[in-house]
Amino acid sequence: MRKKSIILVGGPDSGKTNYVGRVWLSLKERKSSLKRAGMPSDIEYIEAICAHILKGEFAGRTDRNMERKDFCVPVQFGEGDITELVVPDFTGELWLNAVVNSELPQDWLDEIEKADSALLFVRVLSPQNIQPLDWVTAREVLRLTGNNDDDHKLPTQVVLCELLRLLEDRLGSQNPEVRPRIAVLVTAWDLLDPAARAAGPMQFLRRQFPLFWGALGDLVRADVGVYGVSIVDGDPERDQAFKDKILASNLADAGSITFESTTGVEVNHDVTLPISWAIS
Amino acid sequence: MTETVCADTECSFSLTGVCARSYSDPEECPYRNGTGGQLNEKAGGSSAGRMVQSVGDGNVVTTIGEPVLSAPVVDPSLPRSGTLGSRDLDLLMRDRYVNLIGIVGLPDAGKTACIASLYLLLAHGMLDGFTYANSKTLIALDEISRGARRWNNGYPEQMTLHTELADDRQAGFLHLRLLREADSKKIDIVVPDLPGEWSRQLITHADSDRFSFLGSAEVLWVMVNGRDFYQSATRQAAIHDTTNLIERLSELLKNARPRLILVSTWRDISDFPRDAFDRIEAYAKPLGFDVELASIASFSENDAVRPGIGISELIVASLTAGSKRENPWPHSESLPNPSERLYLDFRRQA
Repeated sequence: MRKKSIILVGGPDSGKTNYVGRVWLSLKERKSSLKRAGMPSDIEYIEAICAHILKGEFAGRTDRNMERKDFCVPVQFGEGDITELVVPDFTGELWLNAVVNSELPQDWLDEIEKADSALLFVRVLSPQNIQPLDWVTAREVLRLTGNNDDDHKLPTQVVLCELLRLLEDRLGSQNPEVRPRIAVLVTAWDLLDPAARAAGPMQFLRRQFPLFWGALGDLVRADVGVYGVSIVDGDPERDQAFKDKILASNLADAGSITFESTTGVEVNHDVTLPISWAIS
Repeated sequence: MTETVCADTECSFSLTGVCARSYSDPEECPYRNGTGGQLNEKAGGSSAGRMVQSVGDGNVVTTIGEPVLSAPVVDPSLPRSGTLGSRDLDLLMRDRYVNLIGIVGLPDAGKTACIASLYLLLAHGMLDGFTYANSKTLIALDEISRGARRWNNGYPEQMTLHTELADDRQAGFLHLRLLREADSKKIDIVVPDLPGEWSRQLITHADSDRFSFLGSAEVLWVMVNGRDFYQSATRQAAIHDTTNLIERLSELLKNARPRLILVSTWRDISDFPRDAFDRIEAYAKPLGFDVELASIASFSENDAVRPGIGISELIVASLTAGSKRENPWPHSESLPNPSERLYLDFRRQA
């Protein structure tokens, strides 16, 4: 069987694990355009994530002492070949460290070079996002708020740019004839107001992370797709009524993907869409 | 020759000749030659000081002289987007067209602050007419802008650290690829981040080796601290220093005359005085420079002046070619005899 590997890249709390859990729900219930061809042999890890989602909760942060987890599932595109999809997941600190200290374990570097495509995660309004104020662009706010705790940390958009540079340099380099694909997943998309959602994920990145937005437009060696991702279309942890509502329905039907197509901003309820695009 | 060493770490037999276990004959000591033969002999000469500790079954457990701990796994390091050396710059320039902007200026003129301000404006999508497209030195740019994020209980005295280079003989360069909104064109600019002492050395000792890269610059920014020109007590000296620097540049550049922009910082305090500019302009004219003036405020304490004001205009001015050359293909009606062969005649007219 052919193998296709998608690598999940993103800092801590960027939504990698929850997204994979939700994708498995869609695959299991056969609700997506991406079809699974049989049952994966090891589902312990992925089921542990799903246990949270099925209770109407988000899975907590991935344990940094945990060993690397690969979620492997056989999938089929249309009537095409059966391909084993391998999705290695690990704590976001690994990726943060790759940028801050310019170090990445050899096996992950190999994984990037072997991978066919990558999903790069950034979460809307994450408390882990670092967007420090400065005296040039936010003088008034800085004067009012004073303390600027994040002044010594690397801003999230710089981390994203550096991860993108790493992916552009190395992703799929063992297979140079194939042009790698990078899907950027803007997670927790439902937290944005309707106007921001309607403008699409690219506009969001332009407003929130101008450096990262610019770098995406300057990518040469890889194709890029940008998706606004919401795994259940709401926050069941803060909104009890919403939680009751989704628990009363099939969770594999919840969630949506927002993306820009030639006709404008589109919303699709198949959450596996970024993966289908990335490996097609 | 062999040296007797006891396996008991407390024993100093090899130094003192006294057995710590109180055996009068060390040969009887179990640590010397008991069942496990725990006393070892360190052989000199050909066996190169190796000592082997054995257990009963004769298996080697430790080889003295080898590391006690296994070496830590070292993760491969990734290339860091720090400043570019001149070799990296050569590679980049071979790859695509790069506008090298030569920034010179005395210490405290605000060279680094200007670059930090430019970067911060881009990082928030606030540079008029341009957006960020890429940078090979993003981490380095972020590092120099870090001071501008500090809250020292108010507006900090110094926004950027004094520039010091790891290699004092080679300039470090910062790269930015900008997307010009007017025509969606991507433009690469490279600026050096140099210590002001280099310019000081250039003035006092004509120490120009380190500035050889200026030969490839399309435009020079002579940065001056606007506050020095504003106060009459320091104005004369400031003009004197600036004209000295321009004269040194004219020697250094030999026949090349890139455009020269006098960039005055601290626009939030005051505008650059006209008479001072006139004097500098008049001084530079015979040296072959048509000095242009740009007044900027990298940061601003003055509420009426926006921080970063003038930087967008400075970039625009630096990217537009200063074309004061003769038009090689003049309109035919302006010529005395349109029937003449213009092409052949051009040199004679010029």
